[in-house]
Amino acid sequence: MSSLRELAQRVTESGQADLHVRKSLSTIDELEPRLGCLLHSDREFVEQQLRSLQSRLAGGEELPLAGVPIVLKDNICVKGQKTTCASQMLGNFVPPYDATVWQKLQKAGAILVGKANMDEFAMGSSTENSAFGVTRNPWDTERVPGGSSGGSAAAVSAGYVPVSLGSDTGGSIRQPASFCGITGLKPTYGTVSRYGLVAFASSLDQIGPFARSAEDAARLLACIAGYDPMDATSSEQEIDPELLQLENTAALKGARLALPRVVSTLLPEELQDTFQATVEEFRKLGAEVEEVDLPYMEESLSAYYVIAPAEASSNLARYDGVRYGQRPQGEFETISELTTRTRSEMFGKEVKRRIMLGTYTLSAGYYDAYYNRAQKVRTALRNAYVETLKNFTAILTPTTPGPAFKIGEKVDDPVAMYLSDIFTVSANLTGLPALSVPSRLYQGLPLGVQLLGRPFADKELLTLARDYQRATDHHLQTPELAVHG
Amino acid sequence: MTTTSKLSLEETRHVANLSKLEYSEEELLELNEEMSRILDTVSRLDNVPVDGLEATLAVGAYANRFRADESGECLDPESALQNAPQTRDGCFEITRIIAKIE
Repeated sequence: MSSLRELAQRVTESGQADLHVRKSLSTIDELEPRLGCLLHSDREFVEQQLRSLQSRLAGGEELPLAGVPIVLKDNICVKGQKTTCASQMLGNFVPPYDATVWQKLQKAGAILVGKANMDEFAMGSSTENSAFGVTRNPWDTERVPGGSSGGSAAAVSAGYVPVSLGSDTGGSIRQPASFCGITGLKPTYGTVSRYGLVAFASSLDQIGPFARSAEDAARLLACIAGYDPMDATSSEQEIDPELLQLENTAALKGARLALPRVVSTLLPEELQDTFQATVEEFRKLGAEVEEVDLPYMEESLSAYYVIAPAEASSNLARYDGVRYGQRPQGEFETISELTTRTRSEMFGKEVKRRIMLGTYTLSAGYYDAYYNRAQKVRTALRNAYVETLKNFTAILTPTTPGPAFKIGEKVDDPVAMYLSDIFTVSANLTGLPALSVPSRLYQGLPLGVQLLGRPFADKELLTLARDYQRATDHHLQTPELAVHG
Repeated sequence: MTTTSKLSLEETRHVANLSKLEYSEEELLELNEEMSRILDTVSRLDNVPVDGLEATLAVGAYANRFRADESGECLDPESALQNAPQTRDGCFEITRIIAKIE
């Protein structure tokens, strides 16, 4: 498997813009009918991008992602390209502007080959909430790829593209990365501009990379991170140029990793041995893994399922059927009827459920008991994490409480579905960076392990993961049907 | 404070109204049950001592960021209207909101 750096280098040296893109498109054509990772793949747009890259290459430009095919989650705006959020509501939406991440990727020489399927408005943990069809896990096509960025994760796992972008509000990058056997990072809140990312829960949303290795994830992060005046929450923190190519110094040996005791009570019995074996692997590689009491992990899930729907109910109020969105057929007597009918017919079940929950917890009489309390729990959580991270390089947990589940298995049980986020939501509530790297397979299915670090220690986390991947081959395992170059 | 999580059907109906969402009676019953279950599980929030803690509304150091009040690039009217379901004379078209006085 070639690294991003090698892929870009080969394009630069050969001067051939489509060196990797043709292969990517043929893999898409071959596997897409079986997997359903993408919502759109506009070939005319690909050719247009290739022509532009070709002339930049001819002009001698050296680009960090020259000719690298990429997939974006379909909640990231690309001018002139449909951006649907996998919702009927935005079924025809064509953004009149580019998201900042896409502007940056274009500048870096990447070629967009498709927009990925997802749970509608990023609400879900299996991509089954898409209005436009299911995505199948390349490791077992009877199973979900995870979610909400399921299409982006499956596309990398199946070998459509070496890297893709997703968004992570409660685990939506790390959980599908774990289910699909690839590396996924939720950067520190504010590292990547959210301008042009369709909002779900603004204080939690963060765009981040999927890749086949931590090294590639670091390079992609280097290309998309940075302060953006168009996003008031983007950080002015300088981007470490070393992210483009992680330095060689080993970081895992001697690193202090905190292992929360509560993990053993939250992880199902049958997965304990596999996780323990992973912990031993980290120990063998020189990390000091120490058990700690880290409170509020279960409560973090409760806080998340109050805060995220509350912010969603507010953000999604903009879909009123006037400025964008599809409008149902028929005549409307009043503006209220127009709005109500549009929202009722165009939003899917889970999106409506969350709007309802959020509206309830924000309403007079319940605001203090739910929303305000959840925000205080968030403070308690952050204090506990920051305190723990004073003595440790990172916090080590499983990414998910199990491997990919069967399609349809949890779709009628929202509470069971929400539980798949138990280990991931803390990073969003605290704003801290966290990544998932493939660890051992469990019954032939990938499982991920999560490292959560200090504010803006994204590079340190990626370096730890890189060291783990240098010493192990879990990340090199690919599903049988995959095509990897 | 203890949260009473059992939601009445009438409350659910009221919330649907506030949310500008329309449900059939059957859907409303199902939703009422689901929301009650979800609210039950989030009542774990009561386990965390929060006295004296400030609410975290967002993570990071935030202050308003100001810029000079100068006009810059913006969307042209055509692009701004391109996704609207109905337009007329360069405007978004909606249902009449003021009743006609006879």
